Amino acid sequence: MTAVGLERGRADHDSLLGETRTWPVVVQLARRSVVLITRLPSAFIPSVVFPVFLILAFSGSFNGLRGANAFDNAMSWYAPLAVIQGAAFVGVGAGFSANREIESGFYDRLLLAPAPTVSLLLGPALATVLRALVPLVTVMVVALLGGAAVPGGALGFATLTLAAMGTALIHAFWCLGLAYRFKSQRAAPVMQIGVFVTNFLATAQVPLHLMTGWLHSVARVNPMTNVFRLGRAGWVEDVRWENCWGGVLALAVFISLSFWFAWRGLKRMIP
Amino acid sequence: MSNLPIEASGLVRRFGTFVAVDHVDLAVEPGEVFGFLGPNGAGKSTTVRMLTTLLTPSEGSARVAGFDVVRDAAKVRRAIGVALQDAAIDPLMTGNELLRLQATLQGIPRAAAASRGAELLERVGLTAAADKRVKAYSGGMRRRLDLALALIHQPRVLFLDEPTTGLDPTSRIALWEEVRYLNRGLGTTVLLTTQYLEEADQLAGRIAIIDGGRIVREGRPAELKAQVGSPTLRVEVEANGEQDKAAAVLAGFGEARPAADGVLAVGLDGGAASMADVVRALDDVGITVASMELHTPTLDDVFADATGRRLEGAAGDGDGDDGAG
Repeated sequence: MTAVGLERGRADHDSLLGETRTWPVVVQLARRSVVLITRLPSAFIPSVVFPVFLILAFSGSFNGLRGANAFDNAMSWYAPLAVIQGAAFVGVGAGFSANREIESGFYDRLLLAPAPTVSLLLGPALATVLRALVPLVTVMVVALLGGAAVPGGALGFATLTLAAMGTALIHAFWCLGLAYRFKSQRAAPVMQIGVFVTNFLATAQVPLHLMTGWLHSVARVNPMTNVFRLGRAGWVEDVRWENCWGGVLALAVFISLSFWFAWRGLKRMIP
Repeated sequence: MSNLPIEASGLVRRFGTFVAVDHVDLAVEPGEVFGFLGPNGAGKSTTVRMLTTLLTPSEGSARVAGFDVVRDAAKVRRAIGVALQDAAIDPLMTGNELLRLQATLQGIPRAAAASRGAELLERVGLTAAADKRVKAYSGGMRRRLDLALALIHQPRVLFLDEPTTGLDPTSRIALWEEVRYLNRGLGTTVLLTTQYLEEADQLAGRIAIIDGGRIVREGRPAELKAQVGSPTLRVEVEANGEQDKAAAVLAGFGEARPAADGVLAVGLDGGAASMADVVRALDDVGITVASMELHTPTLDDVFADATGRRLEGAAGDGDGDDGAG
């Protein structure tokens, strides 16, 4: 090829390309993830079915605790648990997807792009938030149909949505970080264990004052207790700031930490 | 270092104590198709992964499109197109969706991406399948889509890592044609890894043979083959009694070489060009030739000469006796 030809090729290349910006890449990656719900529903359905099962089973099993200085309405107490649990598993799904794509080689395509690195994290994060809306809305509808009361009104829905989305993001970033380090589906059990350990060692099932022994001690300091308090703020009583700030702070801190964990993992993959 | 499209100096990659790539030097000229030939596990893909910024070299340095692969990795990624081994394409997405995603990743504006995508799909013959999910594509269609994805941003340098592995002969030849077009028609510099001798012979202007992480031979295929030795002419004569007479004639053209019963073989000192003289000489003494076959050294012979082993899979893929290339 002649020097003129080379220069022309370079000019064609340069004229075709704009500046690779973060937001369009984030949107494309999120869109892809959402579209894949319809293409591979079997991978998504459990994250909807499981929370619905959870709220029905728990509210039925623990209905007898009503009035025993626990809660007035079992559906209202367990709906936030089911929503937050469902959101956490949607977050885990982001890690599973990353695992699959790293193993299949598709992730190399993303790493080879000149797109801003942060977009590879924010894309799955946006997708997680969008996908988490499905179990959120489904469980809320089931809970309301099952007799849940929401004394906090619209603010109660908002605080639960905030708690769910924050939890989804924490688990998404945490699991992406694991995926970048393990680079295989071996990370899957570790990802799932994270949800159970953080949720069920908090006030997932019963109020803190009913817990005893080591479980009480752990739940008292577990930040997820604050997140559950935030999620239930408008579902068991009126929304009050003292019930919310701890959860908001916990979400802010753990979203930041998990994002940092994922970011460090991603930077290890991209020289 | 100069401003070549691809250049590497003392490139090393270790995985623990295992040295996958061992002091590899490369210099690929603008507009060249450079073949990287070697068996599985030779270090081809590891080298490509370093050159395409997917792996950090343990030692040495490399520049691609004028940029350092470590310090200016983002600029390298912007300048190159890559079709990695196994055509890792999401089977749940359609060809069109993948092209749109790739265009966004490369920063191509939406309008330009649409026309560019349509143009590429047409060129690789996938327009009709553009809205079908990739899981319905054949292996050849996936490879062609992978190539289109690698070309969406008109890269100056294209890396093809074993682009035809697992393809049927028709798909393989179609992909070769596309690579030729990209190189000759558009002037794209191509680095191609392959374990197929014929592929390297057909496509590459220059090749490097890699084995055990080291480059053991480098040059133009014809030159490398010439270095191995002279071509062998195998002659079968019509009448059994004329074999001695024929052997005497052939001795004038080079050293006798081992051959099957009833066949005479000679290494032609004058190369393939002296074959016509051999025919004339045999005719002059009245010998009728039943068959005549010229075996020029193949790249497998070059590989064997360099390593003492035959290249894996060589028998089925590049064992040509006609000295193609």
